[in-house]
Amino acid sequence: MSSVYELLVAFDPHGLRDSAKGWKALAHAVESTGTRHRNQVNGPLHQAGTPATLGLDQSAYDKRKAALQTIKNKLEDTANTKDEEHQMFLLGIDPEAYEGDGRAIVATGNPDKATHTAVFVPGTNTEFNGVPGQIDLIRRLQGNAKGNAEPGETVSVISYLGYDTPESLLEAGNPQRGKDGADDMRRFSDGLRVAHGEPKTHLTYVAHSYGTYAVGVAASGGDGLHADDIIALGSPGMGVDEAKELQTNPDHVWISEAEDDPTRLVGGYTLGPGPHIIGFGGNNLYTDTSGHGGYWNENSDSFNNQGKIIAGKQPEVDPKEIVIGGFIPIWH
Amino acid sequence: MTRPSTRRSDTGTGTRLKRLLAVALMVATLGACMSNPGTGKYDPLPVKSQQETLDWARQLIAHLVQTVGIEINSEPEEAGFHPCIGRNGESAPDGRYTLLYFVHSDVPGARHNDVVRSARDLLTKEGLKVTVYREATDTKPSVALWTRHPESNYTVRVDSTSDKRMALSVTTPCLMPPSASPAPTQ
Repeated sequence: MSSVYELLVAFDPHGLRDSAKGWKALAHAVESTGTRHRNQVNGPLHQAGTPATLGLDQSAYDKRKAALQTIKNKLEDTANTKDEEHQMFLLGIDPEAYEGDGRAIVATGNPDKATHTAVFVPGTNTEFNGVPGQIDLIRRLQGNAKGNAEPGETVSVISYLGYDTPESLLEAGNPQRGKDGADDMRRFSDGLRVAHGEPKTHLTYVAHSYGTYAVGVAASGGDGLHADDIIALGSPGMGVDEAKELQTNPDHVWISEAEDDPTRLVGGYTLGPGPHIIGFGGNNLYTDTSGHGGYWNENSDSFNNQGKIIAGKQPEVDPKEIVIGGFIPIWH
Repeated sequence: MTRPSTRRSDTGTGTRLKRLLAVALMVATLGACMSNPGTGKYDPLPVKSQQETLDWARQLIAHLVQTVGIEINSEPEEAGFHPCIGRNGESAPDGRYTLLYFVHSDVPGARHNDVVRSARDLLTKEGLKVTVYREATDTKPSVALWTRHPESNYTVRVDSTSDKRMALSVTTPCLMPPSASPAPTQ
């Protein structure tokens, strides 16, 4: 019997194809970041189909296997959908990347052709086994953005588990993983832009938690991410002192910070100032959710705001926050 | 952004009567759909089939557009059933879901303020709370009305998408399908 890995890599209805010029560029960009093409990924995964060869205990193996099976099922569910906007695209997958934390880049809707494309970058504690949940999330984001878009406009949302996310709060204070992932993220964005061609389509990065730091570092270095909008949810810092360093119009940098999000306490230390404070610039989003994990609660206004931005619409904003005494920039 | 505003639009007797009837029908509809929602963290989820939920959302929007005097345009409705996602990205395998429902209406920009005022009046009478209310101005030409039912936790929103079009949407909290829930007809 085939392993789930084999089933998944053998099933590739749309992902990693290189027939269309756009996908060539994107596949090349993904390849260059370390994600293997389907034919290349077959070999290692075929050989790594047991807990022993993967170096996993049975419980971890079972969870990994279940995640792969769920991803495969979700891809299959949309394989025969005539409307390309509702198809899933597997852009890159490597469950063994980052010392087994895994790498997966999956899109709902064709990012080559969409009027509006969003890249969702998760943060701490998001590993391969969480990819099915990420897929559910990007589909809901896509649905919300589609409802806010203009007639005939299409939306694609990508789940980008393409850097080594921290596994713990302790690790989340270390800037190294964000820095390590910046080149890959920029190459990925370059690939998206090449695939889009002219006229430029609308590109939004939506990042959560440590993902906002990873996006901040990638956006502020090199040629940046070429993003039209950047949304930072529950940010512990974006690696810059001001929004204008992100190489995106600061009027299109959006920060959502719940009143009781504990990341409020870490701004100014190792990852940069909290972007919700007044000196950072950008816009604070009206946020009606609580805690660090509530930004995409099913029917929250916070979530609706994200959909509006992805669709190029004006979200609801709140004033920037004044912190008495500002912050001490010891993170430099 | 104003949350909330206290402005009210003028209405004639006939219109008021129609609105009262519409509100009464909506109360009955919503009461049947979202009864006993529970307010505690560990309360059971409301049970409703996807088809029933979609029918309810369609009916709610139909009453809304009729009352405020606009029409749903010919664009396809966007009705998406999505798995509920936990705060750590987890989802349960029992079919629990939310509905994200959008329709659109072609409305000249000059009427957007009237529409959003009328919609606010209707929805607040129904018991929904306004979380965002914004009328169009010269500097910000789009309107926004976001409302939420305080107990059932569903939302109804009305937004300008351009100077000639509005989006009307309903989202639900997490709902549990009954066993062998029928598939929705779209």
